Amino acid sequence: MSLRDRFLWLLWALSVALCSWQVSRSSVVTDVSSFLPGPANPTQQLMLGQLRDGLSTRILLVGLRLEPGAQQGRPTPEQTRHLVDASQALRERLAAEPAFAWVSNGNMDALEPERERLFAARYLLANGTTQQQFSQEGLNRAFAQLEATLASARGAMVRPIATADPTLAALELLEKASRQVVPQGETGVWLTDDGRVALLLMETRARGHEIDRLRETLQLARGHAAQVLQAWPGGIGTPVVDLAGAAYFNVMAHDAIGTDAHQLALLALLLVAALLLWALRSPRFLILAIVPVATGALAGFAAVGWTYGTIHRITLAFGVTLIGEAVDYAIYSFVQRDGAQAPGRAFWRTIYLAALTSLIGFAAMYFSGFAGLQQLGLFSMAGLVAAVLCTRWLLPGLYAHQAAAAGPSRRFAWLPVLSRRMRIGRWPVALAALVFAVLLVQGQDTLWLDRLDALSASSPEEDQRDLRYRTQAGVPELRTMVAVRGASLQEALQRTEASTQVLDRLVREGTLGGYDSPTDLLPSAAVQQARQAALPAADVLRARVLEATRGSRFQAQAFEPFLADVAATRDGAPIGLAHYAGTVLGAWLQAQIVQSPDGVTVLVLLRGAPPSERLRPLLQAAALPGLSLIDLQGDVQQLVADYRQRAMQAALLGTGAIFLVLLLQLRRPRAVASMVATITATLALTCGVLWLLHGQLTVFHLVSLLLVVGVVSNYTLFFSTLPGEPGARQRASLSVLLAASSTFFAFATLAFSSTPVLGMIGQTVAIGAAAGLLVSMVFSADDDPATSA
Amino acid sequence: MTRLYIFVLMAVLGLLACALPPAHAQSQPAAQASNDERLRRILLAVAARPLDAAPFLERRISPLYASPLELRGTLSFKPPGTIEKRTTSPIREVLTITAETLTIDPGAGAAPTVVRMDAQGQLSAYVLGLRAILNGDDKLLRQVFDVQLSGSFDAWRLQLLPRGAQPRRGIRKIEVSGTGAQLRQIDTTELNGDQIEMAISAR
Repeated sequence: MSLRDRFLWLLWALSVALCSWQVSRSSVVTDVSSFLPGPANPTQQLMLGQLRDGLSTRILLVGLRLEPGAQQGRPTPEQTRHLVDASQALRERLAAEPAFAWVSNGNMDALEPERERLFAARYLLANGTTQQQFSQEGLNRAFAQLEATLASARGAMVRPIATADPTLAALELLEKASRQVVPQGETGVWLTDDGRVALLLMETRARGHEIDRLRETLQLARGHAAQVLQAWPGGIGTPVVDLAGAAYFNVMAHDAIGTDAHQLALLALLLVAALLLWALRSPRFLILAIVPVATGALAGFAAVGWTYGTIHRITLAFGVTLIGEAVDYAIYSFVQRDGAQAPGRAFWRTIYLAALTSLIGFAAMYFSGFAGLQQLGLFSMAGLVAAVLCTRWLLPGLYAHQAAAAGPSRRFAWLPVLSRRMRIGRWPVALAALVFAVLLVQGQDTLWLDRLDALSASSPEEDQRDLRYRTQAGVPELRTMVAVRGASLQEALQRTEASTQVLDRLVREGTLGGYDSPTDLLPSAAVQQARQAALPAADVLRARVLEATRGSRFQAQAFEPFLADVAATRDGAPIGLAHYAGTVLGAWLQAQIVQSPDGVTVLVLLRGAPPSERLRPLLQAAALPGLSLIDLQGDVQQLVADYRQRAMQAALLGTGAIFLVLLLQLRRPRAVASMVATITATLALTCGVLWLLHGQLTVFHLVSLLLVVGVVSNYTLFFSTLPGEPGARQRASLSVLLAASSTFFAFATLAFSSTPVLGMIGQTVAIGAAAGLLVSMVFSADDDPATSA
Repeated sequence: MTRLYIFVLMAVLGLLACALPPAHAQSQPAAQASNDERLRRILLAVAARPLDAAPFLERRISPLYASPLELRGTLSFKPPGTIEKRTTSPIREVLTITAETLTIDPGAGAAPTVVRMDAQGQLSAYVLGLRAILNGDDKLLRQVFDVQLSGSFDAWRLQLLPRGAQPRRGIRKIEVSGTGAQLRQIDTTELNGDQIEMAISAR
């Protein structure tokens, strides 16, 4: 080993140590929302916050499901009884766990505190608390109505509250609250319509992005469920435990990235290693090739960790792809050696040019603005540079000790023949590319799928079950909501009350199905004070009750509790958030009233909302201060669409830059024109095949196309600069073939990832590499001196 | 309104269901066997003659009322489980309870309120008890209530105390009496002090 080599290896060892140190101190993050573009305005910020760890991400559903065994249809009464018992037992256990803010299984008894709080504050909360209602006339009407109701079978329903609440103010509240805390009747616990699943709904204290805490919480729920089910009698089919809700899906998506990526990386490594071993018959090369691959990956992770402080798990998994990319340069340099000679200056120039074009592709990813893709871009750029440097300065010294294996050249003697023969594919390939290009341009309006749930890792069955469970447990649709901002809680509440008047009008007009506003449970102090003012003084009310019950069957003195409660409300203080502390209602309120340093945002949940493009102008027309409409799916869709357009511009710029660099470096316009044609045809073919497979493309396909451009420009570069000498020529062809194959195998492995983002990237690049190789070979054939001579 | 009523109904039924029986002194084991036998005989006789539009007079005595509220109508039972209470005065209304549903039909074209029931439902204490008597099912009756039988076959009296945990509201006790196969009187005392006395006449 020469002195220079020793120095280089020392430098390498130092760099590796430095990178390892950087990687070891970077933490790994997992939430998908950090893969999104940065928020552009407060509404988007709020939306992303909600998406990241809002209430919707903390909802967990546990289902105890009887599997349809021998008997189909409704379960036996015995099974139902055990299901109800298990549901109660599980609720008690989970409610005692601090990991849950609240747990409900629909059991009304468990909701006694909620009922008590509502009942105590009924005159502050009810719209019916008006001077009119408490006037002599209003009370006369109320007592007459009460008498009739008590005579009916329905009387049993109001009898418990009749003496304290003869105007039945509580009914209005209970109905509103019942939307938040849907009661389930007959068995006292939530069962699905078919009676086979007992449902429990809970809110985790762990937030959406705290995956490890969430996972522990899920295990806790599963553990308790398993223990409860141990008491299940044999012979009647023990239920299975289903989990659903965002809290569960977040963990699942995360774990899918984790487990999947390790296996796929290993598989990709094995596939590429087997391919190279078979083609080159050189175990030594395999070991050497690991140097640029591993160094590149390490440098990539270190660069990301240094820049962002954290590494996204998707980026880690993406490391797989670098196997396919970094090994290319090792292949080129190993295969294109002439005898024991290291490749010459011209070869390295081509390598640098190739690396530069790839870098430009990755740079386009970096400048995309999508936080996650920036990481991938940076990772790839750093990895690529490190891999190329290793290949250039470290590997040749090691090859030198090994005589070139003549094997590959002889075994691949058919390659030049194949190259020539591929000319016949020229027209079909050109035609196919043209047809796809025309189709894609024509269908560009519907080509793009901008929904973020395309990234969801759950299976359709699970999604369906989730929807069914949430519907049956009455979890409101958390997709569309109205956000009302104010500088203080009171201002936000008052503005919300102003907004609900507009929403009420929309409900009356039938535009909106309904809404759940926190002001139903916590009216602004102003509204509460107005209601207090509407209550008559104690002696006045007493006289009116006496008058209203005169001539009826009622005894006036039975209604002392009513008089006492009204007096207490009239003279008491307005209620605040603390009134609901420790109840399910309190938990909902906390989720719906978002406090931030610069103010308070109240979220009004909507039911049966029209599409936001219709609703938004209606709300804007009302010109309500502080109000905005949040459409989690729609806004994200818009955000993704905006981003996609930016990514498209970046891609076009990147591709243009690649062509420009090639033109400046090669100074052979004809060759560059043929390379441009090759790359364009490759992109058309790749998009076309993806389009045939999926019907729609996502932004991740688009960005992966940048990778394709980077990779394929290398193939076409090598094919258009083939040396004239037949041996060198064959070696060059072979090196590209192997590089393309290893890229293909690495990315094709990634295509099987259950993480949709990785799957999309894998599929796109695998198809692109195959298409690129095909097109490069087909179009480079005419430069072959054997045929043109 | 229907949804609202269902909600409140459920709230109240939830409370009814908590009705718990305080632990009660058991009858002497020796006397118990013959008591069981007598109860079975009486219930079988009652079940053999199902109520068929039997007129009833229901008096509700409550701290709410200066004078008792009186309701009139007819009561029917269709085995195995349908109870129909048809009120004609002072309001018109049909209450039908089957194994699956509870329906309150105010008639006059107004929409009835329908609530699904379940054999294990929280309403069960009262309805199950009544149904057990009408069906002659002494086993079920004992499952839901502590049963005390007094009197003879020709003038019997059952005191039913709900089993379970101590309730805050709901039923304190039910007293059912009859002469032979004829159910005569169902008196319910609620924990809030209300009493409902239902007298049933033979047709």
